[in-house]
Amino acid sequence: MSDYCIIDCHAHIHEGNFPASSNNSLEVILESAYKANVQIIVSVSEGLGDATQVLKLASQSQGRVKAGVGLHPVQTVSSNNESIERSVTQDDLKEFLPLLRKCIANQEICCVGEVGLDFSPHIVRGKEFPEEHYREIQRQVFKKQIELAVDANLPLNVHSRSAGHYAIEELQNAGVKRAVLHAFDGKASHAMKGVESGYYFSVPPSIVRSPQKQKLVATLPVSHLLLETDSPALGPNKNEDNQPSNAYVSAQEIARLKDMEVSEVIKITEENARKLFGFLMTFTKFEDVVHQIHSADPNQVFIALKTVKNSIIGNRTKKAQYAQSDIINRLVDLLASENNVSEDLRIQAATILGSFAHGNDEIVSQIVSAGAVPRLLNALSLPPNTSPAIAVQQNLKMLEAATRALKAIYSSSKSYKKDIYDPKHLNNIMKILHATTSSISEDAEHNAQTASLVMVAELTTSIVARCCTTLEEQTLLGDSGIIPPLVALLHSGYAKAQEAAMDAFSSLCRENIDISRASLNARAYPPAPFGQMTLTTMLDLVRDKGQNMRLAAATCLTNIYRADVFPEPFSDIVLVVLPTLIKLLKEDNTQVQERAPLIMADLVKDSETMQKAAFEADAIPSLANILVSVSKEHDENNENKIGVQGAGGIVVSKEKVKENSLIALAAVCLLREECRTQAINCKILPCTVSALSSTNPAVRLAACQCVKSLSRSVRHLRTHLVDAGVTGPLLKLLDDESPVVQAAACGSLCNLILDFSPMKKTVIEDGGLANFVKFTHSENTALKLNAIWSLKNLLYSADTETKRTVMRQLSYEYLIDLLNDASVEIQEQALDLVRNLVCGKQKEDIDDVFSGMGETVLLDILEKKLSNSNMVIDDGEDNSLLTLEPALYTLVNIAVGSSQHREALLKRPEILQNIVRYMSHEKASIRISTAWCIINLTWADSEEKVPPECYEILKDLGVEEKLRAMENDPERDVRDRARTALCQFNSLSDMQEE
Amino acid sequence: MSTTTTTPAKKTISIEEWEKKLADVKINKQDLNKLVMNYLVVEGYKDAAEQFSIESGLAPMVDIASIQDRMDIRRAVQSGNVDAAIERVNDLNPDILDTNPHLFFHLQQQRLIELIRRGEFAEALEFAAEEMAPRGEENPEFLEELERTMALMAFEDTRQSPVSDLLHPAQRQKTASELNAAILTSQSQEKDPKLPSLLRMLVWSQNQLDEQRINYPRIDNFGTADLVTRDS
Repeated sequence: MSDYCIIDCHAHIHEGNFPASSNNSLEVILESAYKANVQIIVSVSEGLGDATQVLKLASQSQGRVKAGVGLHPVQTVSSNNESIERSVTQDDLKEFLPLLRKCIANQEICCVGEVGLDFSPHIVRGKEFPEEHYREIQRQVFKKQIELAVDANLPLNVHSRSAGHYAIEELQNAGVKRAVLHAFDGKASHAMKGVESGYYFSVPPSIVRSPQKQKLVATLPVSHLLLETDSPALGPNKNEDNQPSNAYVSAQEIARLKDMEVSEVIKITEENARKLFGFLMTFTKFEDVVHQIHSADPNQVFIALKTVKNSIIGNRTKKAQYAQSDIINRLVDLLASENNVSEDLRIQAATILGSFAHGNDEIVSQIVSAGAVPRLLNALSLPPNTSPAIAVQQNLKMLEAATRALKAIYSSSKSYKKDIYDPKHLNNIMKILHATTSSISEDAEHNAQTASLVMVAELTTSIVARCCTTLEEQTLLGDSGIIPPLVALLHSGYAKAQEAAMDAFSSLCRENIDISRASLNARAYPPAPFGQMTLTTMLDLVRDKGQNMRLAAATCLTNIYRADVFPEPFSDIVLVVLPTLIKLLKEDNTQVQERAPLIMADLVKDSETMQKAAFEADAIPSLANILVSVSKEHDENNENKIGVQGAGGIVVSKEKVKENSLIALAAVCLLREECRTQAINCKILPCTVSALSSTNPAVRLAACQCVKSLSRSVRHLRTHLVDAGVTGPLLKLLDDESPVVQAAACGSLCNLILDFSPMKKTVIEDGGLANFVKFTHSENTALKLNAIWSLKNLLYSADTETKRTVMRQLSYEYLIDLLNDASVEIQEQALDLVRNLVCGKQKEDIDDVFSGMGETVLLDILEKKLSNSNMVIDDGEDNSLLTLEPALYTLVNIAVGSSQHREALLKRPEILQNIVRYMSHEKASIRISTAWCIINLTWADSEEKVPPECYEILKDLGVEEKLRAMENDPERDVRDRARTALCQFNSLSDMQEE
Repeated sequence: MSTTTTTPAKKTISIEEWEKKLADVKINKQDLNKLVMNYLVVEGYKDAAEQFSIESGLAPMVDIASIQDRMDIRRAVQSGNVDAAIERVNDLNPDILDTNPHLFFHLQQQRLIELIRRGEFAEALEFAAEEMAPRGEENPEFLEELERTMALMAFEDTRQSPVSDLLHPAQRQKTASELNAAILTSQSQEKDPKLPSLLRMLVWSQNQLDEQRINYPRIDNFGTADLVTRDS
């Protein structure tokens, strides 16, 4: 019995009715009410006299007694020591209103009441004036109080003795939505009209002795019933004072009449009361709302939709909770045009879907699979026989709700974004954009619709911005005439709309030179500001006051810059966009900190000029600051265990900030030493190293990239990077669950193990080698490539022992496979690996390879690489040049070897012919390598002699002539090598002649 | 000793000179009107804006009805009726609270404060646990503020408590202003009127001149804006 809550919706509980001296003191009846689970009592007044007492009690009751203040149509006055009842007067009202106004302003009351009409004969008949006089005054007094209640958004607690029909009419005429008719004694048919308007009917315990009330309750739906006592009146026994604990009697009687459980009646009436009075729902409202939303009664659905909307907006937990019911399907059904649902309901449904879409990706997936997107897009269709401008105005609210929902849905990566390109939908979108943008820029006059028009334009533009990803889509949108409305919007002066236009331009211009050009050169229609060029406006907006605007403009201009339309020296970018971005990096705004570094990365990547400019503009300290501060905060949180880690929005976005600042640092440090030095001086290394062990794979990946960029500096590599302890975490990442992270870790280790032997040892011993070898068998091409690359670097300048260790694990058989791999990039790395294997002072290194692979096999492979290549650098598909150079240098290294190694080469005429052929190759580095071949073949010292046949063979191939030609090479290096080679060649000839 | 010699002679600008310079600056009457209108609109003086529009012939920069909406919402928060304010905002633009977690939290916090103010402790506890605790999990800052608010319930006499500021009208004011600013931003309007920042700029400029030890006619009383010279 203790887990329910009875709400007595109408009683007159105050000191005057329950004096302390009586048996029924306030204390006594409240205690017994409490014991009977009557947890809330709405105590209403009749006039000035009791109102103050009601208010006093309510203020002392800790929320258990809620006050209602109102002027009753019947006033009890004392005359000659006798209480008499008379109809209310205008003077009563005048006297009463200040108190009512004060109560409303101070939020002291939960309803206005008891108010209403009482046309009982003894009140209005046989008096000084005709009956209609009293009725009219009662109406006026009632109306005035209704008005105040509606304004204050308060429900009315209504008395309607012998005037049920009239009271309901007054309420309806005044547009009242929230009212309870207490102890209604009118006809059931009239009451049903009240139900239709959403009014409630409260049932007093006296129902047990009133056939009329029983009949009424039998007719009314329980969804519109409330419990009341009207204490001290209307008790179950005629001559006994009533009290709130008797509310249970009403519930019992309702249960009997409706053939329901009493507990069920109590539960439903409690919910009804909470709805009516806005008492906070402490119990399971959720199930009821979900139930109600499926009701066939549009009013019920509307109320439920409103409840859902106001519960989920801003509240992720509630969104997730509601999304688990099948509410989303219901919302999508409501949107279907064929279901004949009213505009109001459809608008609410679209709005709620939009709010759900702000929740999380799973909810968006649910929305998408429920088929919401096509329904929402259909809601954008305009009636065919009206001009778009008028049609848009007529459908403004629906368009606003639908575009808002679509924008939210399309903001998630879980949505499918191709639907808008259906010609029908695209056409609607264009129509809306044209109509809205022209009506907001044309009339400077602001009217009630302007704000909505701007909003629809903004939201529609945002949809386009989010759905435009491919070149085809860019072209399609461009051809559909998207640019003019966007330009108009950009010049509209409405910040939100301008930001949206900028976002759309960003998407349209990304890597698209044609659209970038067209956008930049487009001019605003007069009379927008001076008809200036879009570029000028964008540059103005980069300097705007609003952070979001600056960010949007900087993004847009960065994309346009990357589409390669600006002429050098890119002064707009360097002098305007870059400094803006750097300033944005300093803003204390997580959203900005999240996005700005990425744009910075985009701006500087692959461009040494921009990296230099970023360095000079002091971008690196700002980026480093962000990284350092998010790393610190996060660690502190971890230590203190505030909140639930990883689940919260803030933690997630901090991770994103960390990731993005690492990406930006990687990009800005890629090409210039000064950038790397500055970054390291800004103390980014500890954060970067700890980011390598982040729980978030995206952060680990970004940290790998950052280490890779920094490790391009040999100086820093040997000191700071090693000191900071990057190796351990990187080696660990080779076992990462994500192949992308593994590949990136491989890539970062590449630089670390090059030319730095202590590191080579660490890598081999700590499992790096085993992993590299394992990854050379990976299905993931990037990982496989980076693994071979790492092995190649590991072998660079390595000692014989290291080489043998590596090859024991990799095996020569597999190396041969790699040399013949389908991918030329892999072949290139494998050849370089062989080149490093055969390089060195130890002749036995070459022996190892000769015997490991088989001399013939190796030379056959090299021969094949040489004969496959062309003489000219080809921009086309053929990238055999990639393998030519490492093949030649492998030969160079073999030629350094012993006389047997040279003899082996001299026995391969094909190879020699190719070397000679490439002596006139278009590329200088190739020509140099050929010269080195000759130098090494003809080199003689005390240990190794030149094979005697060498001179003849080379001479027959025409080496001498080629070398002489090379003496006039445009490249100095080539000339020098050629001279050396020729000199040695000639000394061979001398030896021969001797 | 050396510092005194490097101090430049104090420069003085006479009132006449100053007035002449002021007269040289042409200020468009319409611009001044716009400044006033901007203030009235942003601060929500609807009737004054309407009247001023008639007198100055200047169209207000926004639809007057939207000012009313904003003021109703503001008043609702200021009178402690946070639920009503939230409903109105959601009707106006549901994105406002869906995209401003801080603002949403502060409104919820205000709701909680109102419940506690009304002595509805059971409901306050329930509300805090069900509606607000999840926000605290999302953001540690929120948790701290929530704890501070809950502390209100621990004191017999909240006015003597260290968290009494939460019950002060200024707290409602703060929440109402935050909401007002968010609505303005969502409508592409400036969230602060321009006039106060102009005044701040004036104060700053005068301070700059003072630091330069220049004697000039200054405005000390912004109500009357009289030019006065200070005797040194």
